Amino acid sequence: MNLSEPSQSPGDDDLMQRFCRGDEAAFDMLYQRYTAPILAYLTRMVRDPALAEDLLQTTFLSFVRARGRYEAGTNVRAWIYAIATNAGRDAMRRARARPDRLTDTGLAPAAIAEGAGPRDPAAARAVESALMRLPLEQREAVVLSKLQELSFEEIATALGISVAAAKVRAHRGYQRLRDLLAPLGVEA
Amino acid sequence: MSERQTDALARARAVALDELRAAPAPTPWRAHARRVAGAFVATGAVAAVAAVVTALADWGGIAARAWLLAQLLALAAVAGYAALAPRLHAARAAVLVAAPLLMAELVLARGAGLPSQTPEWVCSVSHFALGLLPLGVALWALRQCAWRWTRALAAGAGAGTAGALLGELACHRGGTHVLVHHVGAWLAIVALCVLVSRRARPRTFAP
Repeated sequence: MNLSEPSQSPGDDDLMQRFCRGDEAAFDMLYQRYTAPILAYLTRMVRDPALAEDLLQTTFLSFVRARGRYEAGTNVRAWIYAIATNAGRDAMRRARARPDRLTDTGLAPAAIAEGAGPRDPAAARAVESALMRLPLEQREAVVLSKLQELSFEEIATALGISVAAAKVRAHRGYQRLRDLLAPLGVEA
Repeated sequence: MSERQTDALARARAVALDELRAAPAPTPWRAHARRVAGAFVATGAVAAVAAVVTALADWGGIAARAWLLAQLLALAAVAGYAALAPRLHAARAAVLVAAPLLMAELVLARGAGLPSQTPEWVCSVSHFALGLLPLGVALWALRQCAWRWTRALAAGAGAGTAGALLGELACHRGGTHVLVHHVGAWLAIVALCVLVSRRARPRTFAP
């Protein structure tokens, strides 16, 4: 999977305005632009590729249904990530109520490691496994920052927190990640 | 990308496009917010008119409590609007501070009160029942966005103002009664709003 993510282009705002008026072509362009990174993000967050695919559908369905909540000037990429984050949190909360939906090993399925940072598959799996051991709020910040390459302003919007809080969560996450990977000789 | 992922992406796109075709013009969030704020204020206003028409309250009583009634209506309007706003975090925070302060003010302003033959539970039931309609409107509207406890608390606080308004006009008992039977019912509405909105599946996960 190609995880390279487009940078926030000026075209996003225009596309969003057209999409908000019901323009299917504009929706399609935004969909093409963000679908792969959002799927990668969701897969990392929920640890279950099939659930992540369902959540991708939920995310873009929400994106369409909730476009009346979009306010001009809002960062489109951060807004879509916010929807995906909320959908993922909701799914994980409901899954905790039904433990059969969660793996209890804390290990990421191999599919999740696809395209992850280190090229060494074993190191990639170690990083993904360590990521899964982070508290959810730190994991979100680390994944959005390091793997999805969002700015802290975008992360703050996506998580509904202040920029300072986003930096703190990411910093704590990196620190914890380093602690977890140090014994394995893998760099975070 | 695997074939399964490609299929999943195509399916997600098709579902989203179907939704877009079904509703090409979105409803702005301000329309939902105005509806909720309007439901909160209108329920309170109807309760006040009903209290006057049925002689449970008189114009003198309304004038004497005008400041509290105005605060209740203002809280209803701001809470309803702020609960639905994508941003306005400060307004929601203000509602969460103002609501308990107003509850305390209602209790303290009542003083010793007057005796009444009506059972006390009637106040609890009427306060709670009057909050159900605005609560229903709020719960419907809260499904248009991702769940946030601040939204749910603000919506619950706003929904409970109608019963408080009726209580101010029709009930003349003392502060302890207000605390137990009116503030208690108001808090029950807030709790119900939080619990039901938390369990309900939102229609969208937008901020």
